[in-house]
Amino acid sequence: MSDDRHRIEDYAQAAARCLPGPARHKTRSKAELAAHLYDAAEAGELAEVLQRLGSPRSAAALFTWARTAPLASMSRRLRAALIDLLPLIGVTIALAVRQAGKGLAIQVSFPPPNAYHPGGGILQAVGIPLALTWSILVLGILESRTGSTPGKRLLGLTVVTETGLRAPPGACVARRLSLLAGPFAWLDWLPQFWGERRRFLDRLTRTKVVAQRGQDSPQAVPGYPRAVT
Amino acid sequence: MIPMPDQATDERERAADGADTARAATLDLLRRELARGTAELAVLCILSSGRRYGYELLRLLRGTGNGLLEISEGTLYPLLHRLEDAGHISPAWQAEGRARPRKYYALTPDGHQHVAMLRAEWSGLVNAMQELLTTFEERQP
Repeated sequence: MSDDRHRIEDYAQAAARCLPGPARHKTRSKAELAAHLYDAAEAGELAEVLQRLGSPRSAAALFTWARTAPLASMSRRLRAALIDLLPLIGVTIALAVRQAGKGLAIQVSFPPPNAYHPGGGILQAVGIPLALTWSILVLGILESRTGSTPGKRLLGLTVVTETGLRAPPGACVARRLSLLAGPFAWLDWLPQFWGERRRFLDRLTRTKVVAQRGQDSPQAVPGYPRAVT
Repeated sequence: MIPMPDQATDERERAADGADTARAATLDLLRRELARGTAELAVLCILSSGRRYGYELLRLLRGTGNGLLEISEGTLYPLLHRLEDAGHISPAWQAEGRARPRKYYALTPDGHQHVAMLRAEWSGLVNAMQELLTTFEERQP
């Protein structure tokens, strides 16, 4: 049984690495998989069950909470995006104020393209690139590591792959690249007009944004830590 | 080139084996499809008799009707999570004297209503199918 225990714990730990956040949901999914394997071991069927489940990644796809979770509504996603893009919004407003202060015609759009803005000065040279780096690179990496950004966390949303697993960093960064297109970035949100809940880039990167279930009352799993590391 | 008698017999046996394998594979696929289609009712029906954990559900389904209702983890767990999301079942982790806790699933009041509706639908479907099979019984040549 000791061998079985090691095998089960190693397998469950490997599967947990593919599971998306938040940690409390990850813990529950890992615990359910481990419990299933311990029951199989008690019945003398562990090898058979492990063969059926395949790799830890494919097992994780069966036990993840996110596979069947509902897609987040576009309005909720938009609110999360507005929170996440606050630095970019701030730079845009500052740019407009600066142009107005210099008596120039206000020529800004949102998101601001990383191009020439009359009277842009340091805002254009440093502000916009920094805000875009935050919005694309920093938030993309954060999204891949935790499944959420600050805005998504507040709204109870998680980014996952189509099978409900943790999205890879490349996909998380790529799904935010539309911000480089300036005001044309909004074209990415067009599918909401025909009732879809995924942006074009969500489809292209094979990711989806789901609403976390039971986020108000996460159920503790007796005998398991609250979070999976 | 004309095959020798032994060679011809071997070829016939290989062809027959191939046909048997294909027939078995088709039957297996059909059974899996039917089991998947009825999995929700089967699982809810078991849960209507009391709470159960995942592995127990798999074993009960495998042991019913000579394995005709057998489903895999790939069908069971996403189904349980979907039923949980829909509010038809609720989970509870309990150790009950064991070293490791198990996740038990039980029907909610809404789940009981859902099972009653599914049972009625299923009975109607079975009766209609039986009537159809009897009315249009295949004629033997």
